[in-house]
Amino acid sequence: MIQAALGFAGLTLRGLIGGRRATAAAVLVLAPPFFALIASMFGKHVDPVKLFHGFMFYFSLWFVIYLLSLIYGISMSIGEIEDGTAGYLYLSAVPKWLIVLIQMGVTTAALSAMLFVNLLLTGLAASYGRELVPNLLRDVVSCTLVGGVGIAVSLGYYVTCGLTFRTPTGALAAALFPTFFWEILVTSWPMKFAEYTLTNNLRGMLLPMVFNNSRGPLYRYVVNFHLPDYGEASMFLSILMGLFLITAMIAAMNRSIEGKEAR
Amino acid sequence: MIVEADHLNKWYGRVIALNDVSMRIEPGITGLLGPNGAGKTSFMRILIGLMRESSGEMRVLGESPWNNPKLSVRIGYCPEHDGFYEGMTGMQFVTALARIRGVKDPVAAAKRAVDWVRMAEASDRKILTYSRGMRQRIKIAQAVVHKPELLVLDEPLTGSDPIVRQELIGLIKAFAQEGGSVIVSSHVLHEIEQLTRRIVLIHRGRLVAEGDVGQIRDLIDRHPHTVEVKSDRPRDLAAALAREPEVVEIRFDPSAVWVRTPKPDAFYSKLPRIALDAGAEVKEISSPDDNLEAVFRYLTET
Repeated sequence: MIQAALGFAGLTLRGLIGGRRATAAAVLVLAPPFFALIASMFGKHVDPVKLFHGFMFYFSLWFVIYLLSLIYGISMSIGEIEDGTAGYLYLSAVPKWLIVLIQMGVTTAALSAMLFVNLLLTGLAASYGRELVPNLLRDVVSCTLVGGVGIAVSLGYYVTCGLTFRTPTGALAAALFPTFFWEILVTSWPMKFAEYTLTNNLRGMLLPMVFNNSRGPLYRYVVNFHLPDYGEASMFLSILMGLFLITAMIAAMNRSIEGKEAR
Repeated sequence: MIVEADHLNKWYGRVIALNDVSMRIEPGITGLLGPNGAGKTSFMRILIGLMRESSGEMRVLGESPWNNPKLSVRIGYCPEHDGFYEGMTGMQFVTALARIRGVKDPVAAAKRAVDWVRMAEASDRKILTYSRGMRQRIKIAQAVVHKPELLVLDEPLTGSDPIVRQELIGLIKAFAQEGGSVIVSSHVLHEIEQLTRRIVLIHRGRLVAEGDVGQIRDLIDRHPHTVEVKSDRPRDLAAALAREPEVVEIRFDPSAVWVRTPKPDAFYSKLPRIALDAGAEVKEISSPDDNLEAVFRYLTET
């Protein structure tokens, strides 16, 4: 059983490396440092700290974590079913719920590592030709930990979608609609519901860890809603993470691998 | 019994894939025969536990296959469609699957399985570069790597060239001779005939017949068989054929003659002489009925 579980971990890691999704992930990871480098090379009055924090706040901890989770969450669920590889995985010595748990654990760790690289390179790129961003490593590690929670939550949701819907189109629609409506639109609107978005809870956790509880210009939009503090945010995200993890495991236990002949 | 299906039903929305299928399959090789879309794959997927039945009961090796990992590792499955981690080598693929099935020494087991399907030389190449026959063999290798008691093969011979086909037939028979049971599906009767005499016929989700392949052949042979003969002089050929007792119905157009005969073997042996006597050149002989869909039409009409 343990060997079989380790086998799954290895297989999941291999799946992360190859194919078009790995290329897309590489682009996502390397785009913010690339643009940060362009800005610091050609910008005139660039403040490396503001540049790094801006990229971290608006790109890495917003678009990057959702898109990475979306790519891998969908591919490890309905992607495997469509490719025909899920049949091999589900005929193993490991129960389906544990397969999902292992896949999500390994993927969350791997995507967090990608986020770490992304943040570190962005910080270094923002410092190009200038003094290194102060507390860079602390900020990168803190943001990686917070981002890792965000990855685990969103991955759980996307895997649930991928295992619940019978077609890739259905799964993608179910995955993308809340991402764009809830996490992008509602997060940016100064309205009460914004305190229940994943993004704003991550930002709530980030405030004491990176910004020393001082709401600088990045938090200026927080006007009409209460930004969760560290404790509230960690509670909210823990509940959400547990909920989506359980729904993903239940979905795996109930998912028939029907194949294309069923449609 | 290795498989017991009891009033098994499977629906995909409004589409019925399996309709009240009850059967018992004994150890040995059993052929699951049916045209494309008959429900063979659905039956197999329920049998191996990948899919849950809508109603009824399936028991494999005495256990329910759904969400049963202990049973899963007693079954080997070779799917019809190619689904691989293309970036892996054949050996890596088989080793990885041996590992997740709890095989104690996965590398040694994979090597044994790869040798068994005669893929040792190509096993270090990426699956991406494999031919159709190699892919089939590596799929069989992963299906047997954990030494299952039951091997389930979904259309394993489809698309293979004659040489690969004979090799695969040899492997399947060898597995059965070593004491394993095999359930193999196909939509081609003579493929199944080369593997086993025991067949189960499925058509439109229903169990149509089961038994010895000879009995099924007899059943089929009671019904007139249509033969299309393309010729340069179809009228003359039709006139000559009309005098033969084996021919029960005949029609022709400017390029071909269609004959219905209850004795196709006798007809085929007489045809060259009849054509020669009529001075007609036979360009092509084919049997529109020589496909499983027509056979099943016969069977379901009786």
